[in-house]
Amino acid sequence: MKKILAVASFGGHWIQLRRLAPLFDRHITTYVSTEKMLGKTVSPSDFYGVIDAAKETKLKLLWLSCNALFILLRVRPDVVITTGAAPGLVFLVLGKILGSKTIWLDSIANAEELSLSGKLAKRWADLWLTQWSDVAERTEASYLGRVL
Amino acid sequence: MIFVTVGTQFGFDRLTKAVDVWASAQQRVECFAQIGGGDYEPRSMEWKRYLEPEEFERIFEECDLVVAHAGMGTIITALLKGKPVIVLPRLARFSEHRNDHQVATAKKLSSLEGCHFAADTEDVLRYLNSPEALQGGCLKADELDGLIGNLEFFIKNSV
Repeated sequence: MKKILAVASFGGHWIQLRRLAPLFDRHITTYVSTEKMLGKTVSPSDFYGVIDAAKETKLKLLWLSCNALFILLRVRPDVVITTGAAPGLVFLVLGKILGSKTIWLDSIANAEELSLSGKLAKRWADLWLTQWSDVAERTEASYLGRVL
Repeated sequence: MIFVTVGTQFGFDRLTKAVDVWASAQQRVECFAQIGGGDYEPRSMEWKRYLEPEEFERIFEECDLVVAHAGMGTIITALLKGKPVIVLPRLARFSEHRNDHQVATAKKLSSLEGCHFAADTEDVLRYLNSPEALQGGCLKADELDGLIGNLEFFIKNSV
C-alpha cells in the first residue's frame, strides 16, 4: 500500500478523478480539491480544501503554492496524481520537487491536444497521460486508458 | 423533467435562452435550469444559479433528459445514470469559453451511446422536439478498467 495524494479542481476534473476510486481505495489516499464540501463525499479518507487559482490570478497561485507545500510536507505522499486543472499542476510540480512520483492525467475534455496545464506538466510528470489514443500518437503523451 | 445545466464556471445564455423560449411554447413540460453566472434569467423554467452536490445528484436522478454544455462532469454523470444528454459546445467567438475545445470533445464523445451532439441551438430544438429518438447510454468499463490496471502497475513497480 502506498500513500497517494489525489488532486482535482471541483467539477469535471474531480468527477474524472473519482472514477479512479477502485485504485485509490486500495491505497492510503488523501484527496485535495477546490470545494470544501467534497470532503464528506470521500470520507473516511482525508481531504484538504484549497483555493481555486489559475494563470490569471497570480497572487492566488502563490497562496495556493504555500498551502500545497504545507499539505505535501504533512502527507508525504509516494505518488501525486492529478486530473488538473492549474491547482493540480501546482501540487504535481511541488510534489516532484519533494520526491514523490507524479502522474498527470489530462482531462478527457481535451480531445485534440493537452490542456495548457497539461503541457506545462510534461517535465514534472513521471507519467504524462492523455485520455485519447490519437492525441498520444501525435504528441509525446502516453495513453493508458480513459475514465469513460 | 428536462434538466438544463451550464456548469460551475461560466454562464451560457445562448443555451438557457433557447431552451427557455422553447419551453414557453410547450403545453406540459417541466424544466429545471442551472444557469451559473449567466445574465439571462429564464421565465418558463424553474432555475437556480448553482446546485449543491446533493441537489445536483437528486435532480439528475429525477430528470428524463439533460441539455448541457460540453462539460465533463455533466456528461459523465448523465452517462453513468443512463440519461440521454444533448451537448451544445461553448464557442470562443461568443465569448463562452477561452477556446473551442468543447467542440472537439462534444464530437468525440457523441460516439458514446447516450451522448447527442448539437452543433447549434437549432439542433438542440430538433432533439427537444423528438425526445423519443434520444437514448440514454450505459458506460462500458473496459477503458476505465484498463486505466486503473495500468496505474496500479505503475504504482506497484515504480513507486
